[in-house]
Amino acid sequence: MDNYYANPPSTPTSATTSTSRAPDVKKIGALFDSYKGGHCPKNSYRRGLTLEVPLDSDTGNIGIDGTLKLCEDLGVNPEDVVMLAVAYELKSPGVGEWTRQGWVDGWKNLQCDQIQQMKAAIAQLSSKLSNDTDYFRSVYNFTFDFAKTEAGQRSIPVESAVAFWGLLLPAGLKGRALQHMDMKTGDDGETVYTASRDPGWNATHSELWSEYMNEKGGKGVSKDTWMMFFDFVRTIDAKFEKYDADAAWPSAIDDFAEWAKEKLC
Amino acid sequence: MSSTHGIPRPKPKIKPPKPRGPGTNVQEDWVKLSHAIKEIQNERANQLSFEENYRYGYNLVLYRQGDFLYKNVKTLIDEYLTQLTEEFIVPAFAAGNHADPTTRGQEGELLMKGLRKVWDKHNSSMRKLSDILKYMDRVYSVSAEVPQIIPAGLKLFLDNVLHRKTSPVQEQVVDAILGQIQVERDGYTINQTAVKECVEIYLQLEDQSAKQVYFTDIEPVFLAETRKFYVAEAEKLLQTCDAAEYLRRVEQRLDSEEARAYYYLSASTSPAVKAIVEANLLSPHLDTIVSMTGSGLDAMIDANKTDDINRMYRLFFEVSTHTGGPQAFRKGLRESILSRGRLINETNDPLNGGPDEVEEEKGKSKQNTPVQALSLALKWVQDSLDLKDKFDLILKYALLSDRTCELAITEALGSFINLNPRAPEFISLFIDENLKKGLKGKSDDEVDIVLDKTITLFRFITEKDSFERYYKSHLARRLLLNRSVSDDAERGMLAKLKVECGFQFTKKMEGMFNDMKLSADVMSSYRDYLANTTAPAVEINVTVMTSTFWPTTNSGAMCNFPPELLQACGSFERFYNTRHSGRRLTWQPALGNVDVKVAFKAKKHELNVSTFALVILLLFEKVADDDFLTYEDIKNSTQIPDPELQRQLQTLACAKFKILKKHPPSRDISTTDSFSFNSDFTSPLHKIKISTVASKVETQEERRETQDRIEEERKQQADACIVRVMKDRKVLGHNELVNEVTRQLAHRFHPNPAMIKRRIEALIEREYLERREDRKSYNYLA
Repeated sequence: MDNYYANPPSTPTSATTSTSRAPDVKKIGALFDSYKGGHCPKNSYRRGLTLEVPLDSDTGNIGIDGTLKLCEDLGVNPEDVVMLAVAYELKSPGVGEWTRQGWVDGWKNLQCDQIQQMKAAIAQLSSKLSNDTDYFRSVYNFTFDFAKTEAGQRSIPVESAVAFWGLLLPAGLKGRALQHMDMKTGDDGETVYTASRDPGWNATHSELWSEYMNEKGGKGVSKDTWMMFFDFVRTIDAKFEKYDADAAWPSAIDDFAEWAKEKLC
Repeated sequence: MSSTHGIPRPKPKIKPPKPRGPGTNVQEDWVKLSHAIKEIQNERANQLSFEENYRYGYNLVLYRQGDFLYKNVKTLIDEYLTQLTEEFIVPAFAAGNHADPTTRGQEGELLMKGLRKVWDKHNSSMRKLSDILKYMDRVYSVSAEVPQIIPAGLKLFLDNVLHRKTSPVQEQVVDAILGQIQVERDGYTINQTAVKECVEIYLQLEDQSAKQVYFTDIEPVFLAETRKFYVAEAEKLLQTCDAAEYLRRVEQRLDSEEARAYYYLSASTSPAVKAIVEANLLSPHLDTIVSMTGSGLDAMIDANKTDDINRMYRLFFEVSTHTGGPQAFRKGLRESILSRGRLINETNDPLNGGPDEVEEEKGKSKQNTPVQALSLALKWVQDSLDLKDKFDLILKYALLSDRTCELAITEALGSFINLNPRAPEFISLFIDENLKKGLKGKSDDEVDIVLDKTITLFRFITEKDSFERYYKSHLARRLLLNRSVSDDAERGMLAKLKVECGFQFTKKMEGMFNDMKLSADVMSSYRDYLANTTAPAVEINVTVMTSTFWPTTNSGAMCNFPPELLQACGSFERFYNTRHSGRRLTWQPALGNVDVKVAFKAKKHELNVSTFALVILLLFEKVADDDFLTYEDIKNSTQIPDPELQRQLQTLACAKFKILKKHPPSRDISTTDSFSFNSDFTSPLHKIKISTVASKVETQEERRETQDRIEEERKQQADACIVRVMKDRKVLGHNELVNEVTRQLAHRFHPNPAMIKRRIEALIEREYLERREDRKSYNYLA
């Protein structure tokens, strides 16, 4: 299953800028090397960060300094949600970290070997993230592992989960990616999604969810809760009237639904 | 007829009788015949010749005058009936509105008798007529397809008497019948035979469609009248009667209506009448009757009115079967039990004290003393048992062991018992009390009966695991303090529990018994071993308890042993380790007790105290009699944890035998108190058993701790159960999994779905399970 989410069946994108010309792997590698080196004074950036971020020179990877430089060159705010899509495409192991393998394969897939092409690709990823449900889900699911600070961790801290939701939910709600759907069980037992008239989840719900998670969310968010939350957001009606507490939703969502119901009516 | 003339002729011919000239004799014959008919009608038939009159009829039919004859006979009957009606019925018509039921009754009776007389006379004349007109019946009626004379007569009676157009016979008779019934319903005696004979007429007469006219003329009005009567009756009875009386009346009504239907109406009317009585007296008022204040079901149960309860049961179950009777009755039954149960729960709550205590008194120690708490706990069980007994008797004698009622009773008892969260503890305490030796002088058999009953309460408990925990701790206390009445009784009880819950449930308890037996063996070899080595100064008796069998709640308390004890412990440990390698012994002073000789000023006494108490007492050996040790001193030297230390000090300084003096003296121990040895202690007894002030009923804190442990255990059991189910099924839907786990755990406790859900999530996180693509079923991960 993990494998499924890491490599979604729909091959990621053909977000090429133009040309049928194959991207030059060497150029991509050179760009990697340029960001890997220690261009910036290290300590000034590291002080403010709460996450343990590897130094650029510690590993063969691009680190936080290179990341910031990259964002600058690409003209993207490092806290823009599209960076999650980029991280997904480039298989970034964690915040501010890029492996050579992921970098080269990722940009190659995106048909980019120059900063200009990359800029264009990022614009496309941004739109795709907001409008393509399957793509959004892939990035969303990827984000959980991305948010882990160490391997083998089973849950991510509530604060960081809330921060990532804060990035992802508005992006998904902006376009069609998180459009409200009715979920039914079809004749063959398969789950069928159909378009719905209910307005569904909106920014108010996102605020309630953040409030709830901060106050009563406990310590961590499990992968199960993280992944099920996506389905919850997509299928719940605006007033939570159709919520079924006996269904298989994780209990955190049960508790939230009960808590939020009063505030919604 | 053949013609026989004596001499045989060669060609005999059968000739038809020579017809007589028409018109000549017909008139003559009819005159004679009609005269005869009138004579018959006037009951002077004995003067007549049957043969002669038969011939007239015969002749008339033969000479094709059947039609004439038939019509004229009917006219004669018609006239006759008119005459009879005028003579016997019309004069008996009810004169007016007599209020007096007796007068009205007599009038009605007269009319019915008149009608019956007409009927009898008519029938008697018709029988004779039918005899002489038999030829007409056989020949004319058949060919002309008209009814024979008797049915024709009946029809004439119906049209001419009962349904007479010129006088209101029908109304009068029906009024008379209904009047009679009304009079009888009002409680007066009537001439039932008269009514019966009158109604019989209606039952014998049929209308065109061959339906008995009773069903068109009498039954509908009777039923309408009945309905009217019972609407009023219900109102009247509800205002004047209590529940028992009301039902008694209903039953009487049902009986008398049934008798009436069978005796002087028609048996087929009976169900309809019964339905009317039910629909008016019972079904609209079922709940009202059951819950009538001061006399409803609850009150009947209070007063053990078996007959009344039985009557209610019968009426509600047999009469109102399909109109909610059983449901209303069972509801009343359940409510009665629940309200009684709630009272038992409230009055016997050891933590809230008596029911009178006010909530606001929070500053004061609201809790009862342990002794009171224990007696309340025991009383709760006893009261519950009594309640069950009471309803068992009601079920058996008043409800005839009805299955559905039994179920309702069981359900209600179960729910009130489980409403008391401490039921498992109390029931275990109750058993403890009965299995402890030297109590109340009950015989073994008596104890056995009590325990059997207790098992019936135990069955109601949903939280069997909680009971198990308490039972184990109480059993441990009995075994270790050697308080059990007998091994047989203990094992008997275990056997009962085993029957209820299976061997898993009692496995650990049996392990405890086994430990006791093994320990006895170990001790005897230890003594042998000591005989060959230097024995320590203190003689000890050790019970080796397998740690997984014995409950360790509240008993983990440790303390600093004095050197004498350390030496003895060391000696045993050395011995034990030579026999079993790889076992670790942990001493449990909280569970031990000691015999110690103490010299007071007056004399020496032999005290039996807990190990902790001994450790405390030994501190005073080094202290002068009038010197003090503060609470802190004692705590620091012994390292006994606070609650335990306070309890021990209370036992030694504040209970019946004051071995220590407390300064300042009071009932409760405070951490600022100090203590001195009470050398002035006297007692007539040489041997004194000082049992620790037992907090046998758990305090709030202990209870919370126990609850937490139980919660923890439940989580583990749920986890194990989920994994077991999933291992078996590999793939299972969420709801199916929750249901299966609930089912499997039900014999231990009732898990709620939210809890199971959390356990499933925990298992997903620990990668025992994974969610499938459809988001509502799970895969088992090997």
